[in-house]
Amino acid sequence: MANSASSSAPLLTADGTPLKVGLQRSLRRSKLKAVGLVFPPLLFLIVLFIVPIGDLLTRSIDDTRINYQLPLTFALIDTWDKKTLPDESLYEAVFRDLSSINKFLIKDNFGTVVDPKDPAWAVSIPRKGPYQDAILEIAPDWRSPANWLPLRAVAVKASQATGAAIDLRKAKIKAEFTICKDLTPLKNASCSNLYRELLKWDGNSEPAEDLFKALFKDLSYAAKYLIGKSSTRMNYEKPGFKSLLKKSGRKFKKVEEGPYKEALIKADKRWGDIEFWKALITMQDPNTSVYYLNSLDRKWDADHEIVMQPEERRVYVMLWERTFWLSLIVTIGCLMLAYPVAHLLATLPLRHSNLLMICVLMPFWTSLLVRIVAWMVMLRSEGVVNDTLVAFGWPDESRLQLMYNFTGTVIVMIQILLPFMILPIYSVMKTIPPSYMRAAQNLGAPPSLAFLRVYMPQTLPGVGAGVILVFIVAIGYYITPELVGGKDGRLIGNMVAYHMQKSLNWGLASAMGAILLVGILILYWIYDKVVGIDNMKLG
Amino acid sequence: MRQTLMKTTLASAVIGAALAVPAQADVTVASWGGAYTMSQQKAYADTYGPGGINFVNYNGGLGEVRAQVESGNVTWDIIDVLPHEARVGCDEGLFEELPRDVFTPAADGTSMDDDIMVEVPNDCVVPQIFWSYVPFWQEGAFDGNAAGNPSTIADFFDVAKFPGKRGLHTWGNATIEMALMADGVAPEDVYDTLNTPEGVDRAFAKLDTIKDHVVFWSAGAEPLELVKSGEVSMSLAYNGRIGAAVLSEGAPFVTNWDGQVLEEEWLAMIKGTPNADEALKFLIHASAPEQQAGQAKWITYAPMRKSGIEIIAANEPWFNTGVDILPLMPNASEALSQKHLFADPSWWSDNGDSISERFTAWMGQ
Repeated sequence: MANSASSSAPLLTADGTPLKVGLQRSLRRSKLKAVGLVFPPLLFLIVLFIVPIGDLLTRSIDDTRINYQLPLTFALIDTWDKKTLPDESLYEAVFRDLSSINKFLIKDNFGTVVDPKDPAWAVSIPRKGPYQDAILEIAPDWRSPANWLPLRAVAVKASQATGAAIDLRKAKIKAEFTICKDLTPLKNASCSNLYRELLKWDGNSEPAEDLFKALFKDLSYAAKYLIGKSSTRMNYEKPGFKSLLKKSGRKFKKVEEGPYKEALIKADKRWGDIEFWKALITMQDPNTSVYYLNSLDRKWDADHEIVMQPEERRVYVMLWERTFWLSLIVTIGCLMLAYPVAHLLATLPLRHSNLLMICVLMPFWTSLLVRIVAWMVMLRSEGVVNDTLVAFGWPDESRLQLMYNFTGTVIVMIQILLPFMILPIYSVMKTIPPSYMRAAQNLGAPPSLAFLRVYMPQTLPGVGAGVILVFIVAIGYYITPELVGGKDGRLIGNMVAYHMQKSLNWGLASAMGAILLVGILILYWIYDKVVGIDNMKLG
Repeated sequence: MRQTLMKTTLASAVIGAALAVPAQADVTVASWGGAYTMSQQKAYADTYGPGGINFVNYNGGLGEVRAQVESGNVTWDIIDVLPHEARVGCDEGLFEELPRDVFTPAADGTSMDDDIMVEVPNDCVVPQIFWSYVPFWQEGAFDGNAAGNPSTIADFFDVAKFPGKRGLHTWGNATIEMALMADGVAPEDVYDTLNTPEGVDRAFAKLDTIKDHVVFWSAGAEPLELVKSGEVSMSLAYNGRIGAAVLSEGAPFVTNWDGQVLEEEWLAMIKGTPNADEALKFLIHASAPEQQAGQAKWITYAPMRKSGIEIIAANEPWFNTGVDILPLMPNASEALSQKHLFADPSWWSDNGDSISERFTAWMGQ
C-alpha cells in the first residue's frame, strides 16, 4: 500500500539514509561476519592442505635443480650425435659442471643465460684463495655493494632479534638458511660464513676478500649438497650415477687440465659408457614428464621418444591395475555385506538396533592394528579358519593361503571399510517409510518386486555415497596391504610410501599421488553424470 | 570482527607453538621405538649426566627430516639411521658434519673412527650398532627330517631337503645377497657378481626356486609369529628380534649365522637444529665404548666399536638378566667365523630403486 507512493521518491530509513544503502550496509556487515567466521577454517585449509599438496604436485614436474647442476653440459649436449662417445667439449663441460664449485651458482644470481663460450666457465678458483679476483672474473656483478645488500639485510634483521637464547639461535640459523636459499636452488644449505662476514661488513664499502671467501666457502658446501641431490636424481635415470658422481667428485680434484675425455674415463670407466651419456639427455628439460612416465612404466630415451622401461623394472602398471581391481572387489564386497545389515538396522525396534549399531561401530573404536593382527590370527594357515576347516575333514596338507596375499588384503579391507558403507546406507534407509513397501504389496506386488521397484531405488543415494566413500578410501589404502599384502596384495599406496620415505624420490611419489587424485576426480565426475551428485547422501 | 578473529587465530597459533616447544634445550632423538629405543634410553639417556633426552618414534626414511630441514622448522636433533640414509642424508646436506676429534677414543688410544668395524662413510655419523638379517627356525621344526637340522644359507634355499615354507621380507635387501651366497658365490664376490646384469638374474633365479614356498612379511615382529605358529619352518628376521624372544620369553629359536648379512646403524645430527651443542655432547657420550657396550645389556644388537665388543667379552655374562649375550651377537667372533657379508650401502644406493621395483614385480608374478 505504501509502496504505491514510493515509486517516485526513494524509500528512506528512520535516520534518513536511503533504504537501499542501509540495506546494503547491513548486508555487508553480515557478509563480513560470515567471511570472518569462515576465515579461520579457510586459512587452515589453505595453509595445511592446499599449499602442501600444491607444492608436492609441482615436484612431480620439476626438474630445475638438475639444470643448475649441469648447465654447461645441457647447453652443449644437443650437438652430440648420440651414436658414439661425445667429443672433448662435452667431457670438458661435464668436468666443469661437476667440479668442486659450480660456477653457475656464482653466476646465476644475476640472471645468466648459459653461454658455453663464456670464458668464465674456464676460470679456476684457487682452492686456498684469494677468491675475490676469480669470483669477480666469473661474475663481475659481485663487485657492486648493492648486490650484497639484500643478503646483508637478512643477516642484520636476524641479529637484531630479541628473546631467549634459544630464540636468538633459531633466528640466526634461519637467516643462515635464508641467505643460502636466496643464492642457490637449495633449501637446506646454511650460509653461516656469509652471515658472519655480512654482519662485519658496513654495507657501503667495496666488498673485500673476507666476503668473497665466505661466499666461496658457503657456495662450495651448497655445491656439494647439490651434487648429492643431483646424483640421486640422475640415479633414477640410470642406476650407477650415484656412485659415479661421488667417485668423480673425489677424483676430479686431481685433474688440473685437459684433455678431459681421457682424464674422466681414467677417473671412472663409466664415463666411457654411452648409456650414461644417453641418460643425461633425458634430464635436460626443466619441466619434466619423466615422473609421470615412470609411474606408468615408461621413460624417455635419448631421441626423446617414449619407450617402455626394461622388462624387469615394469611394476607400476601392474600395481595400478591391482589397486583398481582390489578396490572394486572391496567395494562390491562391502556393498553386499552392508546392505542387509543396514536394512536390519533401519527396521529393527530401537532397543535391538541400538545394540546392532554398537556392533557396527565397535570396530571403528578399535585400533586398526589390533583388528589387522586379529585377522592374522584368524586367517593364517595355522589359524582359526584353517583349523576349523581341517577339523571338519579338510585335507591338512592343502590348507588355504588366506593371508599375506591378495585374498587376505581383500578380506581384511572389507571388514575395515564396512562401516563406511553401512552408515550412509542406513541413514537413507531410516528415512524410507515402511508404509511404501506395505502399499506396494497391498497393490499386488510380490515382495521381491516391491523391493526392486519401490524400496531399492530409494536407497540409491545412500548406496552411491557408500560406494564412492569406500572406493576412494580403498584406492589409496596403505597400512593393511603393507601388513597383510605379502606377495601380491600390496598396492600403489605402498609404493608412494616407499618413494616418500625410503627412496626419497618425491617426484615419483607426487606423480603417483597426482594420478590417483585425477583418477578419483574422474570417478567422481562419472558418478555425477550417471547418478548425479545431488543424489548422494552421506547421512 | 575480522581483525579480532585474526588476532585470536594468531594468538592461539602463538600459544600453540609456545606449548609445543619445550622450555629448556632438551635433545630430541628420533629412533625406532619399542625395545630398541628402550635400550638406548637405558644405555645412553639414563647414564647421561645433564639429562633432558627425549625419544620420539619414527618409521625410518629421511622424508620427515627433509621436510623439517627444508621448512626451517627442525624439531628433532638427532636421528637413528640405516646405512643408506646415513649416506644420502650427509651427501644431500640434511645432517650436520661433525668434528671427529672430539669423540672418545678406545682404551688403547685408537680413535673412534678406527675403532669401528666398518669404514666410516662420512663425517656426519657416529656409530650405533650392527644388526643383521639372519635365518632362524624353531627347535623341533625339523625333528624326523632326513637331512637333520638346517645349518647353512644353502639349506634355507633348499625346500626339498628342509621342507616347509620360508619367511622373507617384502623388499630385496639381504635376500638377493643371501640367494647368491646360497648359490655358491663367496661373500667377497657377491657385489662384484651383482654388478653384472647376469649376477642379478642369477640371484632372482635362485629366489625363484623357493618362490612358491614363501610367506612375505613386512613388520619385524611378524617372522617370529610365523615361525612360532609353524606357518613357516624357517624365516629371515632381524637378529635383535630373535635375541629378544630368546632372552625375554625363552623362545626356542635357533639362529643360523651362516650367510647373515650385517647392516649398519648410525646416529646423525639434523642440520639446522638450534640445540647443536647439547646434541653433540650427547653424541659424544652415546658413542663412547662403555655406552656402546652398555646397550647390549638390553638388546642383542651389537656395538660397532671393537672396544665395545671387547668390554662385553671380558665381562660375560653381560645381559641384564645375567646370561651370556655374545652367542646372540652378529659380530661376535663365533658368528663372524661363519660365512657372512657386510651389506654394501653404496651398491644399494646405486641399485636400490631398480632392485626394489624388480623385487616387487617378482613378488607379484
